[in-house]
Amino acid sequence: MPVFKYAQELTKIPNCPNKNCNAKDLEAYRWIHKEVSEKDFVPLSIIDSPPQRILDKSDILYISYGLSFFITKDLAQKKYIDEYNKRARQHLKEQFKSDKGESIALISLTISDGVASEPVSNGHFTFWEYSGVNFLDKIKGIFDIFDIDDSIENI
Amino acid sequence: MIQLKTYETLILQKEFLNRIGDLINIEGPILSLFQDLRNKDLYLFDWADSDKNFNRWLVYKVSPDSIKKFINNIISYKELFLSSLNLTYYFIDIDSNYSDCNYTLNKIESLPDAYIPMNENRFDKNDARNIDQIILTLSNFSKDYPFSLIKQNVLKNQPNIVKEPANELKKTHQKKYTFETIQKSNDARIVTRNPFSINLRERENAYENKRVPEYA
Repeated sequence: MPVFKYAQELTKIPNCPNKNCNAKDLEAYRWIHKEVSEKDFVPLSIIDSPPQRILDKSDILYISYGLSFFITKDLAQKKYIDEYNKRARQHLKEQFKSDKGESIALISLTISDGVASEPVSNGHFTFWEYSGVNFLDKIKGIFDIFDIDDSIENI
Repeated sequence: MIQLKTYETLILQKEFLNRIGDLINIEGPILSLFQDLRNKDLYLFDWADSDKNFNRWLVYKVSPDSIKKFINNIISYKELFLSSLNLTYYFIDIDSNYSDCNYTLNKIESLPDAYIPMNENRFDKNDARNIDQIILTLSNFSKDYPFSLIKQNVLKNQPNIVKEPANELKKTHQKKYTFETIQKSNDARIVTRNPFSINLRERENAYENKRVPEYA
């Protein structure tokens, strides 16, 4: 019986992952840094730097121990560009690049890697990994989000 | 993070502060609306910077009118920012550990250009949180909040911001001010002229001495 990598933390969140999440074989896309490393596969709640934005206890509900993926490269890129553009200050845009990376990886997920939520309308789904999964070995391709001149590629 | 010169502190007591909702929330709050329950003053907590340990929030008072215009896409994020009452900005650095301590805000002497939002960013209801509660709160202002006093103060204290409401909008000020009337009035403009070209503290002193400096 596979064990979730963050099983202990997940016990604190009721019904997570929920019963609609399934293990399946699929190809998916995730934002990563060009110099990809294991740090590109750490859930938000485990990352302590930069700190999460918490103004009151309700923000803690946004804590997640899953990884974000997209069902297509275009949808992954569209969401990245949307979020990048929504940073209203230039240094926050740069920080977004530094935090989330500037590339997209094609990753081959299998039923032995974890369970996935159903994708939502923007193509995003959350993936809860089992212990022992090495995502670096599962990367099938890496794509740039920004052009050589640092502008954003049109999709 | 950028080093900021400060010259005063203000303590916002959390027990009197109600978080109404977030005008922007993407993986956590970015632009959050609070209300002081004692005097109904509205404060925006505007995420402006961060480092390894802290997120920096700019805190400023805004009129309900400005927020309505922002929600209705009449003004941009930048224009909302520049509509802060008295152009007074505070900041607070908050870590990721929630605490019940009151907010101790530091008044900023000179705001860096980098902290002024870009012009193209506008309200997107898909990024808002508790928008119904925000709209309800703003609607309540129309019944008992002295809009005219706010507007006079804004115009008196912000000589570098020329507000040019359309005729239709001017008329609505004379009537009962409702959220719906704002939605119909989509051509109010705010013209800004280098609002941070001088030290904010000098500006405030000038107000206190009832001298209005000239700006290019």
